[in-house]
Amino acid sequence: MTRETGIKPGILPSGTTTPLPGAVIEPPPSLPVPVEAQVLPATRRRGVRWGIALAASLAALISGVVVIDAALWLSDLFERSAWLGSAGALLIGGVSVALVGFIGGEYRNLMRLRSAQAIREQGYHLAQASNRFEGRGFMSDLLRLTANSRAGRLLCEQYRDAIADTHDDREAMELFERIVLRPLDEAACAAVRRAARDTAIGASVSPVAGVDALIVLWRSLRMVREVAEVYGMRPTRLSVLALIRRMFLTATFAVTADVVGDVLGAHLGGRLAGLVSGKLAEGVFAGVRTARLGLLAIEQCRPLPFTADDRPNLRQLVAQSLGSLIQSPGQPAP
Amino acid sequence: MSSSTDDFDQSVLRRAAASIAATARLLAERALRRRLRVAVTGLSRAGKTVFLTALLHNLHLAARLKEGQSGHLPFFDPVAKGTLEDVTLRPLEDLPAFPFLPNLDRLLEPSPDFPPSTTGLSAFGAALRYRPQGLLGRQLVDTTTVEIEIVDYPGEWLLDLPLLEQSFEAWSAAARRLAESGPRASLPGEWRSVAPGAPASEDALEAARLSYTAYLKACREPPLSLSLLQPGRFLRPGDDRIDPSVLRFCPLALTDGGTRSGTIAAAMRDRFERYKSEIVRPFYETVFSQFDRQLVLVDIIGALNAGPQSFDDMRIALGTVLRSFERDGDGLLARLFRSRTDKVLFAATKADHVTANQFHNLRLLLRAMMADDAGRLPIAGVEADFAALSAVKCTANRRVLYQGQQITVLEGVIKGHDGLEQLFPGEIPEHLPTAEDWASERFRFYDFQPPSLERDRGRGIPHIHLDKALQFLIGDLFW
Repeated sequence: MTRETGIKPGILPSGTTTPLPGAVIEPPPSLPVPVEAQVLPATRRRGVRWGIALAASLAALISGVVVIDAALWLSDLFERSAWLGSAGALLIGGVSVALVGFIGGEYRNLMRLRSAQAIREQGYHLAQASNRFEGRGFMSDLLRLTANSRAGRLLCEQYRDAIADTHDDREAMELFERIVLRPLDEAACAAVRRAARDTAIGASVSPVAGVDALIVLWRSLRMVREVAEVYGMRPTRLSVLALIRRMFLTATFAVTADVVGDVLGAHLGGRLAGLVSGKLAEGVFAGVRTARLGLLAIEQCRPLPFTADDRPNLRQLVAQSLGSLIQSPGQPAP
Repeated sequence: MSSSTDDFDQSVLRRAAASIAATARLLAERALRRRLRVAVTGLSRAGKTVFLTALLHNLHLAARLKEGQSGHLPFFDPVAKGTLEDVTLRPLEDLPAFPFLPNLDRLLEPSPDFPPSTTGLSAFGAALRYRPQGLLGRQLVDTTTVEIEIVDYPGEWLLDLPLLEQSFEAWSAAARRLAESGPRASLPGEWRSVAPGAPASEDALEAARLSYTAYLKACREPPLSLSLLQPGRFLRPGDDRIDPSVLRFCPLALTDGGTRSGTIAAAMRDRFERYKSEIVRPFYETVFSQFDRQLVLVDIIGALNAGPQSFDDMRIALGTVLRSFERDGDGLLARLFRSRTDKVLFAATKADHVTANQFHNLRLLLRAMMADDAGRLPIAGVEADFAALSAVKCTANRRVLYQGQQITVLEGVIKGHDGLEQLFPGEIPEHLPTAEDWASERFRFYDFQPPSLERDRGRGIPHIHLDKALQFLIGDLFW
């Protein structure tokens, strides 16, 4: 507890205090420094990194070739006629502007994703800290992130309605969890369930081998994007890839370690034998895999860690989305 | 021809099935209705009346929230989950009605004021209809109802429990010892000089009662502000049906010799026994034993303001109150009565008199006041918790820079002043205050005017942790 010593209790004469900017609802962020930030960056591996050198030189070579070719082509055009030359220059200018815009957009999106990740990491730290903390600044970051989606905006409004200046930081987090995150979790799980069902059906009815793999890939990417959007991350296609990469790098494998066999064994029980031969079993496997990927995506996108008892579990998710498939193998759910 | 009879048969069957299903649902809903009696008590000026008014009003509004609103009870599960369908308030049949609407009007006036305190037992009912979320409940019914009967009774009545195992002589001796020590010794009173051997007459007994009641009243009022005021009914008779002659006794200076019949001592001993058997026992047997959950409000802030003697007296009074919750073992209550109370929340009220960062200490201090020297609470078998709350939040917390320090101050309208002022309320110690604490004049907490609620009439009364208290007391019923 901070002791505000030296000041006698009593009415403060008017004009002697200066309000801290924005302090009423959101005191300035004074977050504990994340432990990681204090860890020194890992020492570089010694020696030349040939892969990077190769990629960089290749990129330089190709862009050099493109630039030189374009310049030669332009000067050629100008030699033929000034009109042709200007038309060519305009085209090239247009392409480069679009290219810069595209790269800039993707870069911004990646950065936004990264700041969302940073908010998330702070959330993890704060949730684990057992002592009191000053997290209101963090709460405003969290609200800004979550309010990116339409559902999120309404929930954040509800949260602002519920929070009072007498709630301490732990209570603020708890309220956020109850009012905002629970409905969002529900929406994210629904997206995962839909995707699991779609891939299961797609894989079990696809006539040609290989097509089912494409269906699964496309649907999974869409699912990851949907999940990220639910939590306010708004990823583009490229940043979905970045997200997926992160998912696999930081996945808590302990949680989702090979449960596929476990789930199938538990859920299908005796019926498994009858199904294994059919194409349906393949579909169910694909569905379970998608659901598992979906859970990883949720873990990766949720701004605060799950508490032990409200973490969605794969078995339930699979049962809810694929249950109808398994129970009536003849008629897949609509 | 035959197909039309089939149709007819089928429609009859279908209708019969539908009506059976409807009846089954109705029966299930009846069976699942739950009724619970929650008592709110506290020593005088703890804020029972305001608490009840704010609680009922906020509950009533919680089922009528608009989109984007969370209301004022976000920590009460049915509100947080959005499953509360409807709340109906109504007086109870068997108990006097709590004056809810007049009290509420007083708080919602343009220049609001706290409602006057109640003196006796009163109650109000709230029926909370909600959609069950549990696996079983969801299958059985669409909605179900929890009926809560909230009863408000004076905490002073709980001070009478120890009388049941005391004789008139023992009680007299203890009460006189108390009256001659500490701040009480300074109070005058004709009752002190009542001669036990004098012949008894109703007039003489009534005069003694009046004098003793006046003494108790003087103990309760500032500057003394004491809490240990026995017998509890002298100040809070509560019930018009009480025969006033039962209250005609006071502590006497008895000598060891026996008392002759016809003397004041004999008459008073008789009245004391009648007080025990006609008032104290029936209260525990028929009223107290019906309470499922209880909330005990304690005005710690007031006791800190009033000084060490008042504070210590409140500690002793709370220790006595606590004996009414000893349900197990060889507690006095357990030996004499059966109690249904399985959850008790002890709450320090007027939490809005300090800044939010002091709530934790307020809770710790309340616990320290009620625990024994080893830090234990003698109430095994009852789930007990401690809270800091405020039924009406009169102040706002502000972070400011003052003399180069970042501090949290309160902003509000201090009682008797005009306009908003900022105030550094000081800190609440987490342990019992030491002599040094008292000497340094650390404790000077101001009372505030209730805020004007005209602007958000539809939103309810802002409070501190009312919802958490509610969740602790009845949250487990909403499966």
